[in-house]
Amino acid sequence: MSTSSPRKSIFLSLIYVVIAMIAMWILLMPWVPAIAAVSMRRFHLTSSSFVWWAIQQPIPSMYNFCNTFEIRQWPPGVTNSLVSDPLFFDLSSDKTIDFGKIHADHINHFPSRVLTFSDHRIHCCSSNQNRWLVTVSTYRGQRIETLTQAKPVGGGRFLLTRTELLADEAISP
Amino acid sequence: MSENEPLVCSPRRLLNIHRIVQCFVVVGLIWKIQFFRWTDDVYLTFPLSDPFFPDWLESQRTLRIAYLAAVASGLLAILLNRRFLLVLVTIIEWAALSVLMIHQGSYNDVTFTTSWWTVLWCLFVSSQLQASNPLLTSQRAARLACVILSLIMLGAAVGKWTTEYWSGVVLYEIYFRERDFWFFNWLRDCYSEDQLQVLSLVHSRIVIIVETIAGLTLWCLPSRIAGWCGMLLMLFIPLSNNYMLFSVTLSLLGLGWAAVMLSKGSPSPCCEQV
Repeated sequence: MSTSSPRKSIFLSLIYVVIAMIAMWILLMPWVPAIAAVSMRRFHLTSSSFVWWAIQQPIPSMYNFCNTFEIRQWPPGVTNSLVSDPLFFDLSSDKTIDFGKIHADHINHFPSRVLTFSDHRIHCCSSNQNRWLVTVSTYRGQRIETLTQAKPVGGGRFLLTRTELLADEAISP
Repeated sequence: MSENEPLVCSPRRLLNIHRIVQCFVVVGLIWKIQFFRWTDDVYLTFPLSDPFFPDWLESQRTLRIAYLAAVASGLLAILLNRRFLLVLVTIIEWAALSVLMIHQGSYNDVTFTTSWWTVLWCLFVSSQLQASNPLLTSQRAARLACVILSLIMLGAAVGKWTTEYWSGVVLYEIYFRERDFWFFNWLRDCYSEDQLQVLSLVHSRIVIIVETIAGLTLWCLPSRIAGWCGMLLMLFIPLSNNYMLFSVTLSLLGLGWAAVMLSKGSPSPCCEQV
């Protein structure tokens, strides 16, 4: 792990190499769309593999990106097909009311935690019904959108299925 | 360990500083213990099967063992004197925190990320307690603490270099609109919604600028100054946003304190070596 030499510490050098690589990764993120996309996918649990996601976990990322979520009782497309139904139309504003949406908000980081973490998990799962979570992260013109279905499979357990809806990696300042 | 060496470079002093930093880590880990206990009940009631995570990282047993191992080994690291045992328990603590960082039920909690970096610092210090040049070790430890603080702030800053933060929209939605905390409740009592949006914009820009400056400079500032700046930031963030955030910042507060203490009596910051 380390040498006892007063002049050299392999362990310390290794730590600095890792820190330098992480700092470089962070500093390149605003200018390299691929890095921003990979980082946003980390927030959505849609990285190409679990190992690749886990390697990124030590990278500090408090309050990164603009993250929003919607908890839905049916997926977004279903609402669109009901636009013509008067029950789903707000006459006062001429706008479709999205009855599928149960709750929507901004969140500081890891919007995927709306299903996986603590108080959010109870909010999504307590009705013991199918729920859909739409998470969106945006950063400097890039946008990643993910749909996660939580399906009750008995005994209070839910099965999660994730689909990336949109990965707009083009820079549009 | 000799007690006759100068105060700043005594291995005993280094060990004591290491112990106090471990105290910060342990207090940070148990800061939200009530919340974690409640979370444990939620996970028991509503388990999730997620193909993304390996089974053992969905297991509640893994989560409990990792959390208890992190706290217990942190406590042991405060009590132990022998270098070998100290390194061993610190490795266990770091490994437990590594598991918490990638577990389905805790991956998003930054408490474990900041503790992970701080315990990595502890691992370096504990591995160097019998080094032949304690002064050099102290200087290296102080510098490493500043570099870690800098990295954490840099990670926080760069992710906010986007119009949604610069306009204040994100922090308005997360904090100013309805967050139940004395500071934001007071602001809502005093100001209209339009004024709050302007305040949010100003607040957001100050946060981005301060985090960016800290991220780009703490690593190269003299350890004492960087340590004090780090401590002030780590106190200000939870005091002005949410007391629960102390779980995230306490370990970093310990690193800032260590940087200040280890720099006391150092000949010159420019002599610090890696």
